[in-house]
Amino acid sequence: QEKKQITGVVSDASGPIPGVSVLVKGTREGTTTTAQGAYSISAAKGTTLVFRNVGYTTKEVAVGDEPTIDVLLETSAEGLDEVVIIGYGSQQKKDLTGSVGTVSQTAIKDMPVSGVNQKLSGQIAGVQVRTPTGTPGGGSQIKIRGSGSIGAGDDPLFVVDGFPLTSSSGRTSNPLAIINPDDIESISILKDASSTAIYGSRGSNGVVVITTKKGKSGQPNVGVTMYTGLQQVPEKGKPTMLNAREFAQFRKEIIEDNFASRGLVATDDDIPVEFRNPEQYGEGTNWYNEILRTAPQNEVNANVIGGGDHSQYAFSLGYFNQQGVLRYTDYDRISVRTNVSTDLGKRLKVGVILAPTYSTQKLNNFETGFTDVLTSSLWLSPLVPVTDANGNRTSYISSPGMYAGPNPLNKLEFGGTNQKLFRGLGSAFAELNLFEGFKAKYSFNIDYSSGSGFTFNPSFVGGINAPPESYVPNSSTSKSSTTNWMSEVLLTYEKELAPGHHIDAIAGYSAQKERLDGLNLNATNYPDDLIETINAASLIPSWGQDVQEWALLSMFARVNYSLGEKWIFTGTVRRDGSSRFGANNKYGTFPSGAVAYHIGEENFLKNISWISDAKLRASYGLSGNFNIGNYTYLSNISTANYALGGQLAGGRVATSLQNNELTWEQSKEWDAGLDLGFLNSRINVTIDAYNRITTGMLYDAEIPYSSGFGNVTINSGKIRNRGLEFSVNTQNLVNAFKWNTSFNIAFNRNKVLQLNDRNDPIYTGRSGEGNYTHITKVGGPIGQFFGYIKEGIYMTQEDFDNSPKHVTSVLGSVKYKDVDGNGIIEPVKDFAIIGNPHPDFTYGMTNTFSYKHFDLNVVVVGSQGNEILKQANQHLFNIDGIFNVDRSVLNRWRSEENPGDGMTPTTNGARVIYRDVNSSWVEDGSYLRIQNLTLGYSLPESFLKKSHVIKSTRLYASVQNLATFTSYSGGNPEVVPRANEGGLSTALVPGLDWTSYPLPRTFTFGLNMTF
Amino acid sequence: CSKNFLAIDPETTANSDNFYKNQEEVEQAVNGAYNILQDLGRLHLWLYGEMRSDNTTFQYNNQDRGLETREFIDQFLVDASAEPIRQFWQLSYQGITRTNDVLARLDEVEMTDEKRAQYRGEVLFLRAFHYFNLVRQYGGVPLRLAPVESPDSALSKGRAPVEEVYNQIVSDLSSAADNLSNATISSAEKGRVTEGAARTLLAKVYLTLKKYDEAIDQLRKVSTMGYSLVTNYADNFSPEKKNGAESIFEIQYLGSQPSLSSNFMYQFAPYTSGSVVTQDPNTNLGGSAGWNIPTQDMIDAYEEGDKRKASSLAEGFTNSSGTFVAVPYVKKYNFGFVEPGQTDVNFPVLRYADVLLMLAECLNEKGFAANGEAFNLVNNIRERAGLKPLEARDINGQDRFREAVFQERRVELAFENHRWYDLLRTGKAVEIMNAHGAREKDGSLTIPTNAYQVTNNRLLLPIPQREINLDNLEQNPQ
Repeated sequence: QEKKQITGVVSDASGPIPGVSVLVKGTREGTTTTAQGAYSISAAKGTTLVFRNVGYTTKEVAVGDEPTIDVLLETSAEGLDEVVIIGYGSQQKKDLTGSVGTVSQTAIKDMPVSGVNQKLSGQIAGVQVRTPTGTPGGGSQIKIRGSGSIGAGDDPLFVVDGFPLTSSSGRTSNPLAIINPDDIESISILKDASSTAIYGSRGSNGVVVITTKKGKSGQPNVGVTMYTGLQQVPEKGKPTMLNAREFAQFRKEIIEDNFASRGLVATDDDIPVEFRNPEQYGEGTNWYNEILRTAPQNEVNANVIGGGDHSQYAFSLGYFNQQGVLRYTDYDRISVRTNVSTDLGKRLKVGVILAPTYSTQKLNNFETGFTDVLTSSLWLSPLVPVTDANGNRTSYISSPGMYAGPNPLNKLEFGGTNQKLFRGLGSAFAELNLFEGFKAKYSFNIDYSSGSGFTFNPSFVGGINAPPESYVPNSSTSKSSTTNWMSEVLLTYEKELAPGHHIDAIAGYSAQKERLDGLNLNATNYPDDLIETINAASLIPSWGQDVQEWALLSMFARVNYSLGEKWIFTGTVRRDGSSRFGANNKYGTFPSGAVAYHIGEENFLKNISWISDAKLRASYGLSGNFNIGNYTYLSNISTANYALGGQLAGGRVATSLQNNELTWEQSKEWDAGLDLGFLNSRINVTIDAYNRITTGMLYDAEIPYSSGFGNVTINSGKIRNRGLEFSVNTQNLVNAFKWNTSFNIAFNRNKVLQLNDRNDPIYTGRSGEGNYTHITKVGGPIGQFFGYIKEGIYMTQEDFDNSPKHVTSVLGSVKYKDVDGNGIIEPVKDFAIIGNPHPDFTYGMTNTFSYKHFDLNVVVVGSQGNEILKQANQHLFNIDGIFNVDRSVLNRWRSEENPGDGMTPTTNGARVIYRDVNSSWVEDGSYLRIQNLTLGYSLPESFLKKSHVIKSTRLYASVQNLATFTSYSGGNPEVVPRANEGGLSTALVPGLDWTSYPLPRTFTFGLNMTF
Repeated sequence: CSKNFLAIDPETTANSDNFYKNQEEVEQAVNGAYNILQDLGRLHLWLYGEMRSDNTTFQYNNQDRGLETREFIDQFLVDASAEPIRQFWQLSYQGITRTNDVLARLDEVEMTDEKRAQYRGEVLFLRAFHYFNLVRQYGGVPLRLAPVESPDSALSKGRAPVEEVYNQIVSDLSSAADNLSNATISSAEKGRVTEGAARTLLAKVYLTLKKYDEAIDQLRKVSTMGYSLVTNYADNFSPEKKNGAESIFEIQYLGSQPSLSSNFMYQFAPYTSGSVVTQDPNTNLGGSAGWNIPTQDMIDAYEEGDKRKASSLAEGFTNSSGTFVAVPYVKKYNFGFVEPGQTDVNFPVLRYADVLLMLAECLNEKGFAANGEAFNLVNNIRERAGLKPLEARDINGQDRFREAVFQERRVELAFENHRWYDLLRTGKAVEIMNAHGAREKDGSLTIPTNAYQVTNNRLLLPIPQREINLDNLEQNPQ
């Protein structure tokens, strides 16, 4: 049939769209729209034109008699035609061969969080996001498809605009806070090995690929978003401590019970005067509540996006401020981003991205141990009032026979840490169109950061058991800078080899290097509090410098080959050389392959009208994990001086064991998936099954001290993660009242298949008494809880006489199970598995409703079947009398006649083993959380038209962390162990909860406008 | 290019590929081997050598119960998982590894034969010192005589028999003494191991093994090396008079350096004494104070007029409100501080008074001689203490003399970490410690009722549970 010329303009709600690809369906004939959105193409009547652009729903229009076809594209939330960003490129969702999750920008747009990682919660099957802390500017932990690593960390790799960042997880400071979430255009999560293998030795924990907003030709589009909000700590989950009267009574009874156990009677003289008459006290001071507040949070962002025929730009400016719900803590961030590109002639395009971020964070000693200011607010004496008779803060909180400490309000106000961080991401690229379908791109990327922290502890604040009278002012200073650069050449080639045989391929070479320089100084003996800088100090008792460097050289390639409409094949390979690995194992190769079969294109399914699409996928590949520290394979020689002849004598000793064989850990994963669309894609279902075997796991194996070392990093063992992921997106109602649901659920099973040669279990963690808290052994999942099994208490003399005992046990003290049956209770020997931190499944559901100008968005996330080890019970249940404690102590055993609840022991003895890890610390950690609820109202267009300036205005109110349904007694069931708990990788001590910065509930009111 | 791009060595530390290349670096490695003595000395040597014995105990701290496992060591309630038990083992083997590292590389590095012999002698002494502590506290222990070079060889061959450990100690010390016989230690290097130190320790080992002839042989050699008793007993501990004529080996500390300083005065002060004992208002005495507190029995052990008593201990302190508080404390190491929390005091390990007392003991074991050489040896020491000499009319037989030396050692060497080992090697530990426990528990409201049940089995510390698990070691019966 005869071809004719078709012209038209492609636009969206805000005007013409440049760069839209226009194709004649089933051919390679095509063009792109101009800066004005215009196109011209020759096509025959009866053929179909396909209009396709990133961020828009692809549209197909049949060519009829009309010579003009104007097209209105809708911005896509998601769908099969959506263009998905993958590693080193993009693909249409329907052409994906691997398992890649995308995050709907609509679902996450109004969340008041500092970093994009916190927005991912509940959005993608198999991606578990936990926010363990409410620290302003704090971070989250992301885990994709379970724990594949025990010693190298299981954080995914984050790639921003093609640049792999070095860290993606942080607790008190969020490394991803450097990207203003408002600047993000798309987020993809690469889950299976065929998608991640292109990242080689860094891909095995999954990859999060983020692209930021780029310029577009056309009229400048100005967007402004802002919100203001308040954060509050929910009442549920707050610790329940003794009040003043109860505490005085408790302390009095400890003495009475001790005397009674020795056949004596305590008199008033034996009891400190403070505790003699508990009735004189009322509630007393609840220190935890005293340090909390309702805190504001604000954010303002503005961006301009536009461009002409040859140049495009995007600029943005953002300001974020979060005051902490703990007094005197806050976080403040200014971020700027520019993204400019221009054509230099017909073949060459160049561009630059610059994105500096500056943030300040005021923190304190949190989440470090039982003496941190937050934890001390739990156990400080409730007898001491916050202020004295003159209204001045009580400076030192102490009661007889108790741990004492500074007034936490003073510590927070005057002893805080000020952290500053500048971090700038920058990149420049040049892209040369060599000939049809063949492009060469060179890019240079740099990530520079410079941070500092300063803490001054003035004389009048004091410390734990260090009253202000004797306290010497001191300070600590840290400074560090990191430079990470990457130089990369990328070749891309795309060609229709023959009708129905399409190929696109990439090949690249990159070099990346990072260097960190850190310096820290502790200064003391300041004469007074007047000058805080180090020059005023008279002693520098300790200092240190750190330099960390690594380098990575990589070659990689990928080929996609599609055969007709039905088959797509993908093959990738990457070869990485890393400075981190031992001399004998510097290089590794990571191949993968995948195939997709559009079974829906087969006639037997094509005719079923309610099935709109059906695709089968299968992939297999290899990826690695290189997070092992920079010099781990070497035997490092550190300074260990001595004194000789009254002078310093320089000494050096080996502090680690050499391992020349050390290398990356390797994950082999297969994935089988099914993508289904029903009822004209109103229902889309994706199901994936995977099996990932990680071998040669990097871990800090504990070795006998007689070797001279406590541990050594080795490659050993085998872990399997296998699971099922199921997600469904439905458009339940599509008329005036719209209702969309997306739901996902993931089941992962983690099993250790092999450890070292002898399959010795790995014991990890440290209880307060120095014993293990976790065990990893063959046949079970990683990091099960390990401790005494609490059976109750020795209720009667007969019970005591006839039961196995610890050497310190007494009548009424805690009764543990004699696991080894030798008649004696001993730590570790009588430890057993007491809980499992891994969930049976995790899930998330987002419901979006809209009616006329209103929209409502609800995000629910949850986890089922995991347990938590509440290590805070070490001090919350302490029966020494030196701490204020949990109210459960009121029901303790005092005598055979007054045995209490049968679970809480006497204060008379065996206190050390009672504060050791045991089964009463294990709780069910299942939860369901309403993560976010947002109600929005968009002003009617008719109303805005009068302004001639404002294109759209939307008002909304949202609540973040609205409610958590859980039986867990702590404040937040999303627990992540503190970094280096017990000096070991956090992956081996999962499910451990301490006292975390409380996670607030945040109410915000916001405004989004475009001009 | 790619090879260099990926070859990144740490900048802040050396590594074994580029270290141990010359004499200077070997000397640094030797100094590094000494370094562990400081950590051992700060806590473990007195915890197991002194506080576990009847000489000292601790001040019950009802505000800070965090170090209760340390109390359990004193009270014979300790179990295999206790932190201090693990640390002592760990530090000792770290020390052993450092000596093995030197020994393995010594021959490859260019230096004079004299220097090589000296370094070899020094580290052999240190290795023997650690094994001697280990074998007396834990019994047979894994014998590690070469560095572990790769993860594959991290496991040991299990616990060597006690006899084998002692054979190694004797061999190491004999070799150390020979290697050090030509070494000249300049005054700028005082504190290094000398031939005298090796022979004294060897004599102590022989004495422990009841090999009196061999012990006498070594002690006689030491007595010709120029050591002598200093006139003033307290000078032995004063930082002003470090490494004096009586000193044979002491752990060196340097008060001006935070990481090299000692802090015995703070640890041994009653935790309730504020700054009146330490005279340092800027160092707070929390849970790290109130240790190694002399027992009443120890205080009573000093004879009337013994000058050593006042320089060794105080029976209490006068607090800031002027009240006398009868919590005794060890005073031997109170000589002020250099910076808050940092003292310059060394800790004695071997001194000449010990040599004299050991020689006297050995001679007596070989045969009692009324008013013989053994009497003279002991009387030299008693004379300095201002006490009347022992005389054969009172000490009229071998048993009586043995008792007299035992008593003299207790007061002369008080708080120098000899007592526990003296109790062990004389076979008196069970009897004396049970009696001590009964005294301590009498009327106490804080000591657990089941404390101090001392049996022969409980004289050895349990092997750390961690090592039992990781290295398949056999536990000591408890």
